[in-house]
Amino acid sequence: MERGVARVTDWLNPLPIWAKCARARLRTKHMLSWGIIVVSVTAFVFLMTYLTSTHRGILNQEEAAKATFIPIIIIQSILLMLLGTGAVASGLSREREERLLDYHRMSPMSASAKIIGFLFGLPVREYFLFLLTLPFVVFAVIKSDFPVAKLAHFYLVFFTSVWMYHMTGMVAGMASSRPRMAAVMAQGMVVVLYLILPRLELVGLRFFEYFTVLPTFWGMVYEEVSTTTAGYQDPMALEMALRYKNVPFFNVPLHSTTYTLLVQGFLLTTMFIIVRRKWKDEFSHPLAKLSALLFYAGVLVFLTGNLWPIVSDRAVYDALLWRLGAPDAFDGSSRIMPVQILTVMMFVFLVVSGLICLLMINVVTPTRHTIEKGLRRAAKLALPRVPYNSDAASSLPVTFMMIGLSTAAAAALVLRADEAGWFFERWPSAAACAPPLLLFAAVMLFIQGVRERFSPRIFLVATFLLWMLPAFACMIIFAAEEAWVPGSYISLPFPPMAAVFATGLFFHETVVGGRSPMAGFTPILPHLSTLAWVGTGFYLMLAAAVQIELWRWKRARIATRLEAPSRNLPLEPAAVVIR
Amino acid sequence: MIQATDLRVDYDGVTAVEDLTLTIGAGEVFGLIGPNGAGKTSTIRVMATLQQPTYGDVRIAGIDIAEDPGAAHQILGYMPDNPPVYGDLRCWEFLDLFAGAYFVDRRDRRRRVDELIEQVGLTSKRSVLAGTLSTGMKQRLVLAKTLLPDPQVLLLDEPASGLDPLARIDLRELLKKEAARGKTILVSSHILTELSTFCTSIGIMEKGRLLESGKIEDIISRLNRRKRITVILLETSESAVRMIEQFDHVSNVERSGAQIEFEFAGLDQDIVQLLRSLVNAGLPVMSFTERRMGVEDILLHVGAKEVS
Repeated sequence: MERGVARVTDWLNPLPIWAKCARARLRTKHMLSWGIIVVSVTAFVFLMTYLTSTHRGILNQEEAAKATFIPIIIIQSILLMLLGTGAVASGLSREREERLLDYHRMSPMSASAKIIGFLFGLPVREYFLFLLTLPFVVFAVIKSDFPVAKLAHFYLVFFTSVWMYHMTGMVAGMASSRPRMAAVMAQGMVVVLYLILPRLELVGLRFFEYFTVLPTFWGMVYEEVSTTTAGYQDPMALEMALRYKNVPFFNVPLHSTTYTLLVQGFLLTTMFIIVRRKWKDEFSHPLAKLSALLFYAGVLVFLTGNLWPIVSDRAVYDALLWRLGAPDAFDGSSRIMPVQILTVMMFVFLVVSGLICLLMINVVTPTRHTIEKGLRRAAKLALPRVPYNSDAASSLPVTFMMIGLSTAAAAALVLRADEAGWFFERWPSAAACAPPLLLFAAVMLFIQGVRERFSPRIFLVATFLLWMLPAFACMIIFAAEEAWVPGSYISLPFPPMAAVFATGLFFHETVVGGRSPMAGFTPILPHLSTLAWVGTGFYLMLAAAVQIELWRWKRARIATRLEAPSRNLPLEPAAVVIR
Repeated sequence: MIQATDLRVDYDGVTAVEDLTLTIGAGEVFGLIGPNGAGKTSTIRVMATLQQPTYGDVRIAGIDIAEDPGAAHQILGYMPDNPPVYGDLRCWEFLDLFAGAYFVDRRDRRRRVDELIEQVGLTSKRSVLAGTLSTGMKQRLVLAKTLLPDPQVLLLDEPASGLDPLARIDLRELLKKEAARGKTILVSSHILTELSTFCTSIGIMEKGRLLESGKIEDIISRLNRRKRITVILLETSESAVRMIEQFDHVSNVERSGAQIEFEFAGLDQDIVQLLRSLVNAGLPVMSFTERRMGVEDILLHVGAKEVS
């Protein structure tokens, strides 16, 4: 019994790897040199803020101590979020490149223990440097009487963000074999997560805003920091605090921290699964089919949850309008029509969910090589078929399920908007309802078929030629010739453009006599229905052709490939380099 | 103990291993010989579960390594070619890491680490950073790491490539000792002298194919249908050459001074008859020997010409 318990604790114990990292990265010379730099910089920033304010009499001691929080938090963020993420990504990538990871792959420790060991071990020096900044925080808390509960709240989210970024670094480290590249990739991803994706909140997709610690900072710390001892509050801080106190999620206002933890926990879990799978088997797909489906369903729940209150609660809708810069949002006199907002919102929803769906299809679709291996394995184990969740199984069923989920989410949002009463003047015809959904399904089925039937290289070239060339051509025609109608037809193979016409047609038909949400595209209004249907029809035909070709290929070739290569036709070159 | 069937490994259109079927019995020391690029490393990496074959199966101690790699890891020890080490760890720290990772009891860990350091002759380098060690010393350190969990099966890829002659002798002795303890060892090399002295069986690879494999004696007897006989006379004799040439089953007679070499395809009784005829003819025969084939001769017969 005792032996068994010891065995289980050994299996779960990430300590050997953590200790290895600590030994390597916390030698006295490193700690001294880095420690001196960080303490000096933090002390400089702290004293500059604190002493300058107090000695010049701008702020009293309490307010000055509070003011030091922001620069310290910035230093801590640089240490853990930027340098720490780089350390994780480059460290793991180096282990992989130098084949040291092979040693760990063969050791009996569990994959989870190894991942946790590296997750906390690789940035151990950055954690140590973070500790060195804490005395300044403690001094500021004592001096300013800052509410400890709020600070604890903030640091809870700060650390979940740090772990999420470090996990991002691990994913980058597993994907890239060059350490420097991995570090740059991971740091680039952090910048995208911080600066680019959060902008999608402007169309109501607040999910992306909560990848960062910023909402918690604005909601918890900034308000406190900007309040003077006399009780004066910065109006911007008040607005921010109000905005980030709660997140309307479906019809439930969730506390900002709860929502952040939900979002980050969801992403952290997904990345942990990816790293764990890659750790156990370098050649496996990053996500199994079921996990990819669950991930996609989760993303849709978050996105739909963000848009739901906008299409059902006028106050939330008005707040979004105000955020978009409509000063008359709350008195009902805004010139922006609700259906215009809804059109943009649903278009972005379709594009974003479509991109994530494409990513998932790309992740779970097997190459020809994997399909053949799966068939041989099924034959070897006398299985009636390749298991549905295995990497070698076709991704067609999952693609159908993802299309179904997207359709359900989009339909729920549009029906809710219709119920709300202030978006639509009438329900559009069936001929206008079909294109957005059919186009979405056709594009996904086309991509799935091409990805499964052809090599990744052909897939990339084909999608580039089919998507980007028409997009470039139509941009030139629009800019140089202002020939809107031919340009629009040429742009149809580019799915986002086809989606513009498909969603445009749907919302155009919801207006009776008034201004159409497509009013900005006057020259093409007479062609809108044709454009929507040509774009949809084009992709429906492509999807059907590719799926039939895939089916024929599978029937014709796979059955002959179960024999040993030497006793049969030579294998086609492996589509994936297995090294 | 190790069984590979129809193994094939491809790298982006290049076939590294093709149609390799191989069986290695328990307790054998198997030498995988072949020139650089023959497919030895790919074969060993597949057996170590670190690479997926394009086709084929490997079973180790009955475990299908593709289905249950975790169980295979429990009995496998793998030492890669040009083995990497953590340059920023001291030698004892490097071994301590893996002692922890292989669940060596905390109380025994230090003793076990010191024991292995001594076994591979790195006692004086115990607290030196592994990154500062020479290539040969790094090999020894990784060998110690490989032996640490006391695996039943050792997969060693070019273990002696960076070692000096003395270290090679040490390695040979160490492997002999491990083999005597009943371990199955697969060792690859492109240097013949490394393997010929202690392997019980060999496999010869060239251009991804296994040309020959089995116990050294079996291969020799398979190839040895024609024996190579050397006769040394006291003085040069033309009549001896003529007499040998006239004998049945004799071919390729070569003379070099008083030494005559020839191939003989007859039975052992025929050899006795030949020797008797030479002596009865009054020829001064000083020596009459059948030259045994070594690993090098096998290679020359089989075709791996690029092996040093």
